[in-house]
Amino acid sequence: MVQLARCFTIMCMHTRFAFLLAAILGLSLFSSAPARAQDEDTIDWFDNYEKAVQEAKRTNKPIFLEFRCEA
Amino acid sequence: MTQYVCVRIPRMDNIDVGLFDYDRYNTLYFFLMNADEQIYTRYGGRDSTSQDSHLSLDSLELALKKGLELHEDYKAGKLEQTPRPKPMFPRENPLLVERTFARNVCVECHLIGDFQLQLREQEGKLDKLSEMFGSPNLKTIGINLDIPKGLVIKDAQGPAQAAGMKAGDTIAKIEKTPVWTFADLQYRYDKVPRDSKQVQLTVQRDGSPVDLTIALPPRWWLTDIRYRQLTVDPRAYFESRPLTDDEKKQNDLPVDGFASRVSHVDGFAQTMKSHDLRVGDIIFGVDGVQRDEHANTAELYIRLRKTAGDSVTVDVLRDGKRFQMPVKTFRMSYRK
Repeated sequence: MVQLARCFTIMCMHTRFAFLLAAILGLSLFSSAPARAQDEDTIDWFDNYEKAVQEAKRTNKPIFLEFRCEA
Repeated sequence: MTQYVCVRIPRMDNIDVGLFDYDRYNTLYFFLMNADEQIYTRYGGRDSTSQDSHLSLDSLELALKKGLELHEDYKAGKLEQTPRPKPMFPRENPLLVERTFARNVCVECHLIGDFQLQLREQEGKLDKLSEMFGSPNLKTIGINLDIPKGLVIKDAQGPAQAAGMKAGDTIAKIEKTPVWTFADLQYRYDKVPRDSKQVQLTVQRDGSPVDLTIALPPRWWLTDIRYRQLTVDPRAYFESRPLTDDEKKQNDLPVDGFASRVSHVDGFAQTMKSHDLRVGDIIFGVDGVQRDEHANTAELYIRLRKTAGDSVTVDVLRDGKRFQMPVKTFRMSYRK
């Protein structure tokens, strides 16, 4: 809930779209504990698709793939 | 999020766009998948109102949870394999190579979409009904979703209501394909052939599946595409609204024709010397044609049947007088 509250704070500061991005980028959405020790505000993003697939194979995790226009 | 391997792709240079097929006019789009490149579900989707009209934190959370469920099924060998689409890479499109790779500029998602359409246009294969008027609006058939709840129906009207859809239903399948998110639904709905007369949906109601057949009205695919930067959309810089049958009869025009009244003239019309149409003018013919199986306005007829850059002659009715006027259409200038 603390995390969601943070999201709403961000929402008040930015547009809805920015809010969503911020939520995705920075906050864990689930109440269950992360699989490994990690700063809750930090997600390790890959910027290389092939390396992400390799990591998913190694860890047996699903992949969250984001296409995002930065232009 | 930590239960996923997260990857962000801002450039499409080396991405298999055949596998990751989606409406390129989304600003943000997610795929949840496994290391075998099997896509579980997708998240995103939009309409003409805004780029985030169908996005919400709640529905994203639902999608992420569903992705984890499907991944458990995959690991247990319970998930049905789906055939992998034919690979396709941006470098295979010579127009895209010329305008992006060769100039070392970003291969943006919408550029891929537009140059694919340009290539089809050059090859004479462009189907404007499905490719230009992409991602039809589900509200046209009366489906109004409770967006934070994913595919839960907030309100059913028109054809959806007539088919038996009710508030509280959850859409589970379209044309027998399971869908979990709005993006899934919009993507699959976009694949419905434009000449279809109906679409099959399955909803979950009180824990049981209910099959619905929704009748598709004429021009169910017609969608506001003004937010799309489409170079294959001939720009004539006016908008027109269909005349009623009574208005057509009063003006001695065919009832089954696309006679329509000019409702807006864009400032570019004068700048580009496109035409001298005025708001209130009735256009009842284009190059001598007055009827079309799909177009209900002159504006739509030009969009569907003409190529950007064409010059046409329109039949105009103004203040009771009939005359002809040349109209020049344009291709979007910044990407000629």
